[in-house]
Amino acid sequence: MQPVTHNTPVGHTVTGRTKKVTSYRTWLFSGGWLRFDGWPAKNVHTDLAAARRSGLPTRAASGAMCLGYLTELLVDLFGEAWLSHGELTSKFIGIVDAGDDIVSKATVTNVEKTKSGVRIFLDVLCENQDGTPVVVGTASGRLE
Amino acid sequence: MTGEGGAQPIIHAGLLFNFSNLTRSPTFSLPAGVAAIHTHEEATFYKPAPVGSTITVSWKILDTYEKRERLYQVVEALITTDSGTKVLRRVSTNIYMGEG
Repeated sequence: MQPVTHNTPVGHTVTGRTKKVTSYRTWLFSGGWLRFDGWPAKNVHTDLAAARRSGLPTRAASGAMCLGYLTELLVDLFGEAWLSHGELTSKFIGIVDAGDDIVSKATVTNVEKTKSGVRIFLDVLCENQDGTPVVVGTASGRLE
Repeated sequence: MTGEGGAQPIIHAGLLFNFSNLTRSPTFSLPAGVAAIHTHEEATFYKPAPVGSTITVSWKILDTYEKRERLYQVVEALITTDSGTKVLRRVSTNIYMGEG
């Protein structure tokens, strides 16, 4: 993937790496600290019965997993420097179930000149294997 | 251990999000059958945290409200290093679902 530059045009869209949200990954992320007994902890992210007791139709992977996927894409675009000035706002609009394939995408919406470079604004989303968005939001990062 | 290009390795942001979810707070608990579902997130990054550093997460409840007969809670999580450097500030909105 090509990083964004001062000359990246508005409308430019990039697609991140596809992530298979396996049960094991949701256990590692949401199952609590690793231990021999009682792991993974049963909750709406790891256990179907727990999810249904809480009114969900199925297990829902933690929204923070998608935040990690989006952040990975933004670090790919801006470099590790994004972790020193990056901003990300997101809304969780769909359930990510175990077995889903999630891909993150970003589209440049604005490029503003700053004293030391530019700040690039993007629309971001995560969508599943059906092309259904599950997370939508905005992000920005600086280039010196 | 070294990071990319021999640089000091840094903690993956996904791990920072994981560590700073409200459910990670030692004083957080929910009645059986109730779940906290993430609905919105605002994250601002300040500085990468090196692998091996000790980080501290401070949570603060900013707001609670009802909407469409559901309970929402807005929570700030601030991650700092042991030297007090800000790493990440999050403002997360959660909805509480289920019957406790």
